Amino acid sequence: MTAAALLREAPRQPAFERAALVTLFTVFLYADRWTSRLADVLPLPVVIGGTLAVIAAAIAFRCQRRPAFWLALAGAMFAALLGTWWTTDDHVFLIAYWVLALGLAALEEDPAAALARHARLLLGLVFLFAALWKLLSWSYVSGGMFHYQLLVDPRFARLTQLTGAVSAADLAANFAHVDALRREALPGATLTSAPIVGTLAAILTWATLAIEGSLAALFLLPERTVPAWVRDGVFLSFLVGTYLLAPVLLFGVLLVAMGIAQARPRAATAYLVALVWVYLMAVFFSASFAR
Amino acid sequence: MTRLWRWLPAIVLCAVVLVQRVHVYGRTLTPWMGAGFSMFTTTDDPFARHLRCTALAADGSELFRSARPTRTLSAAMLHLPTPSRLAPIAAELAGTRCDAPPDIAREVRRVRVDVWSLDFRAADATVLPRLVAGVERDVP
Repeated sequence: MTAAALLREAPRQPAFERAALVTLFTVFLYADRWTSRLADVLPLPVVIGGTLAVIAAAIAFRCQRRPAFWLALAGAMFAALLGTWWTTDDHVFLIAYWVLALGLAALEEDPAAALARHARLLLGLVFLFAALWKLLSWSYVSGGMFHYQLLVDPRFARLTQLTGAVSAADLAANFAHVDALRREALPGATLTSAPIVGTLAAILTWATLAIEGSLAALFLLPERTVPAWVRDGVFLSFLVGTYLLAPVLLFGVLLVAMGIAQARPRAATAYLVALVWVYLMAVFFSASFAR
Repeated sequence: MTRLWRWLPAIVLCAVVLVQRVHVYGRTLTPWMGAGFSMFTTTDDPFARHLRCTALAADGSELFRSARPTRTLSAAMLHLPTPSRLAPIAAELAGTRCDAPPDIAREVRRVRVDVWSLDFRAADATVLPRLVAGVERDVP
């Protein structure tokens, strides 16, 4: 790998360009962790203006097509992860793997095809491991994990509330019981539940396992053996369903970037709609939890 | 470009997953962290992790138990509680005798500092604490 190859500009390909620009947006969201700290010491307009200037400069210099840009970014991300890996969420690692994949793909003769291969492989592995660890966990397969989340996690408790079986006051009390258990070293706490919550937990448990297992197979099987519309359809359904319940903005936008990289050109619009969906759900949830 | 470079992101992902599983199964890491892609597999999430301090008498019997709000702790200590990470807070809590009331504090000879998680028993919707790791230290 020569310096000239690293610094060259990959040929313009719409599929690669779309994925690279959505990834830049993801990196911009990720950078919010530092910009919010900068905002403590610098005036907010300066921080916002500076961040936008960096992104604009990156696009103006066509950094999104340059291997050196992505590889340097990946290097910085891995360096940042080294000292804090055990306190870091999965999707932050996935950004680093994906940025590395962009850099390596930009070095290839056909960057779009190379990036599509990286996307399918990384997404397939993510869903394979996600499904495998769930299948091996008794807490998960017994339905206990989702049953617990439906009673104490505000995101899932909304679903419980829709059943009408457990009131909002009881759900708030459940959360208070668990919080007290942690804060006051209590021996245990019994939560308010209802039989339908167990049924709902069982549905969520097996539906999640089914869709994650399916996505692992769809992305890891040889490309020609699975019609692209099936892969995109199932993945888009996953994005819409998951982010209706648990909208983690950064993870959602990253999955859209990876999805768009491997999608047929006709499906690209659907992924951009999914990007808007993920963003709106995150804003909606963030506003509703702030109330 | 060699074949190895083409597989590099996937190889790194698998290697990190392997490291994460070793730490989950053998070293008390919460499955929700560290890039094993095992969020939502158990109730042992970062929110469930908490610290408890137990004040012990000379004969080892429990005199007092208190919990420390997690905001006073580092996430690193709760997510992957190793003896070396727990040692400084054990030293701090030995000094305060787990914040026991003065009449009990006089009897305290040793403190135990444990990180606990939460298990859920669906049959009766009960949340139960589960010990993850801990260290003991004599009071000064």
